[in-house]
Amino acid sequence: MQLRDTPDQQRFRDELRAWLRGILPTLDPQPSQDDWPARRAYDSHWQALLHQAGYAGLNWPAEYGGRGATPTEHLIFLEESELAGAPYVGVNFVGLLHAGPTLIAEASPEQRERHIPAILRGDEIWCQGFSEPDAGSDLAALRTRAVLDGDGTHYVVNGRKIWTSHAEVADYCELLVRTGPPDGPKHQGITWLIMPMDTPGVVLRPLMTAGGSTEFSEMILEDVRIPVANRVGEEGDGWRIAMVTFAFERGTGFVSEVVWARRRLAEIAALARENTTWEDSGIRRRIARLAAEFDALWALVKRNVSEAEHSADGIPGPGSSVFKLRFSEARQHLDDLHAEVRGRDALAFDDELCTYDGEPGYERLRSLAYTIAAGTSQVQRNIIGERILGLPKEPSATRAAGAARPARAATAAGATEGGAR
Amino acid sequence: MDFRPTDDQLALAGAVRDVLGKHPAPGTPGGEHPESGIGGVDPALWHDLAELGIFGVRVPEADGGLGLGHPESVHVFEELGRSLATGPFTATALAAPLLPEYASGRHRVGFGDLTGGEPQLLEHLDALDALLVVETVEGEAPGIIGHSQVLRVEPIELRADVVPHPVDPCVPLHRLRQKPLRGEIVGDAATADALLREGALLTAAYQVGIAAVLTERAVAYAKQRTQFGRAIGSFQAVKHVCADMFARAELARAAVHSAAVLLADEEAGHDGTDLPAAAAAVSTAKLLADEAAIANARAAIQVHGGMGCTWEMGLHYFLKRAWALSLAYGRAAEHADLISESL
Repeated sequence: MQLRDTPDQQRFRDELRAWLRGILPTLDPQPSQDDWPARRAYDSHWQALLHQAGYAGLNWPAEYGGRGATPTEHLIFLEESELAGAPYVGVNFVGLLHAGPTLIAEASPEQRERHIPAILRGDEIWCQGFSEPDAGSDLAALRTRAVLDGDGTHYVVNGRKIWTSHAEVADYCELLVRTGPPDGPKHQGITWLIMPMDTPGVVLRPLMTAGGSTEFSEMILEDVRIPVANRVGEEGDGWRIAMVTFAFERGTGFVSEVVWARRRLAEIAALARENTTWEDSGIRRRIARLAAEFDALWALVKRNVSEAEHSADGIPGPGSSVFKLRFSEARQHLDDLHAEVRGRDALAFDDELCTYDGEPGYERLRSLAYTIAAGTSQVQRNIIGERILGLPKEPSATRAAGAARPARAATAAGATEGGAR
Repeated sequence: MDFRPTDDQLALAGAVRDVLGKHPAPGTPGGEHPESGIGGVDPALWHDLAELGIFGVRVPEADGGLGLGHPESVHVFEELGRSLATGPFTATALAAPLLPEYASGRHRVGFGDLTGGEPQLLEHLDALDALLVVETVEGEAPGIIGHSQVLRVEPIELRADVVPHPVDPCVPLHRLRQKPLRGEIVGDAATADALLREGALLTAAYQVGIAAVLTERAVAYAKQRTQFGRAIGSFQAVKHVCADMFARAELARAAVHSAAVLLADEEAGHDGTDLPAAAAAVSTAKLLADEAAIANARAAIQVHGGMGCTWEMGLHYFLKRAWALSLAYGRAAEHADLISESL
């Protein structure tokens, strides 16, 4: 049981630090939060730089252009990048954390060749078409229909998707559709399709969040024709395919945010000392308690990563649900505490910062989604209760009707959109 | 980095658990229900654990110890907490690295922190062979706080009154009538700090044991108890209480293990440039573990329903111990202040 880097890990860390020190000053200032073309250009440029330096697809197998790094090296990468203030994955979130790993695991050689290198280079942006207005936590209830056309070469898709992050700038969408009968077993009859976003019939309606961000869209699909060649895996096997990578996302999706949160807390402490709220022992101790929470979460991340590194499949265990549950709640406390320390200043967005990540009022509003996105806190508690503790499931209407439910179904638990910072 | 417990650490914990399994804790199947104030040290359990070497975990092998470190100690103490083992385990384990004659466990050592202005309640006084006391030496001028030091005191020389009704029936208490005036100085201010820090770490580990075992008990009960024709654990209202219990215990354990590793690294002089200071890590562990133990004890009682409140069900022993330990080796506010100094 130890926390120190091995010599190899130390070398990896030192090289990465040196590279970050050299490359970060060459970057332009971060673009405005709602300037989507500029954000795409910025994030793609960063991804291209990572790719040139050999840091793209860090945890992807080398045969697919990745670095084949260990989970611990991946953690070091996330930690050092955040400490150095490097850009986060941004609009490449779905491609790198979800669609890419899914394609590696399940796609045909042609599909992989077509998409994997482009995702790694930052040339191809993906979005996720999973959730629907009536299928949120109960994702398997999705109803977007895909019907084979007369000659069997295309699926014709009709339906609505929601919470589609970065849809405006995406080239492709990982789309879950129902190919089976609408009243059939809900986890069967789902199919995973690659949808080019420029296909006729794809209509986007931006959804403005409480913080005023247009990061999410509603996506309306009207007679969208998708080639059968774009199907990943077998027809009807889409649920299993989508589940393969959920565990990856939950394991690493929020990790660098702990580092961010710990730094933000230090800033809050500095501000409190400056404006004398620090003299209020209630506030001071709440800051300390949150520091304890984030430090413990960081320790838990290391425990989870160590276990993943020595597990057969390298996939983080269900312990990542504990992390997701406690982190998302702590993150909300952090933003509330920040507002309390700022006092009435918190009633106005910062004029200079307000269109960038990190503006405290905007972060506070964005944190509302943390306990919802990537599986709500209630769904995380179900996963812990059922998959870890072995408590019986609640009777379900569909199971009562005799529908088979795959063992990993409980991990689905809602969409992942919005997990990206 | 490999933050998983090693096979040796798990084996040590398993050996301790085996011994504890032969001496059922109060309120567990096979355990007794001590009357208030009658409990205390179980000499047979103390003997068996001493044989295993748990008091000399951190004592060099040359001095009769196991020659291991904090990461092993916290594994032992989590097991003690799981079984609600009663006795001056923490104080004796703290004394042994300082005075290796205590590594064998032949003597029982108690602990008193007299640095605060609180009334002093000493645990297990009648069962002690020695008492370590951390006290503040008077400052050289009025208003100047003096440094602290560690004294070894003969229990027989203390004037103390038995407390007739301790809340935790297993832990006899005495109220000190006066500060001990005579004793042998066995450590300076740095030693006193180290004792308090390690005491907080071991106590946190014990609290994690309480939090973890109560999660298991609540889950087992929720699977077996039926109402409305179903196991109550199938209701999300109950399931989510259990999930929160698990999350508290896991997070607190990660904090305790991290603090143990950081403290060991710091003492070994390893460069810890990007690691939080070990002292703050110990306070983090104590804060989270105290919270987890108390909240899980309450939650376990809630999941057990009306029976949870009864003497017979025995969950109250865990809650009472968790309350007491949350006031030992630094309470929440003190540890929060210590963390805030590092921010």
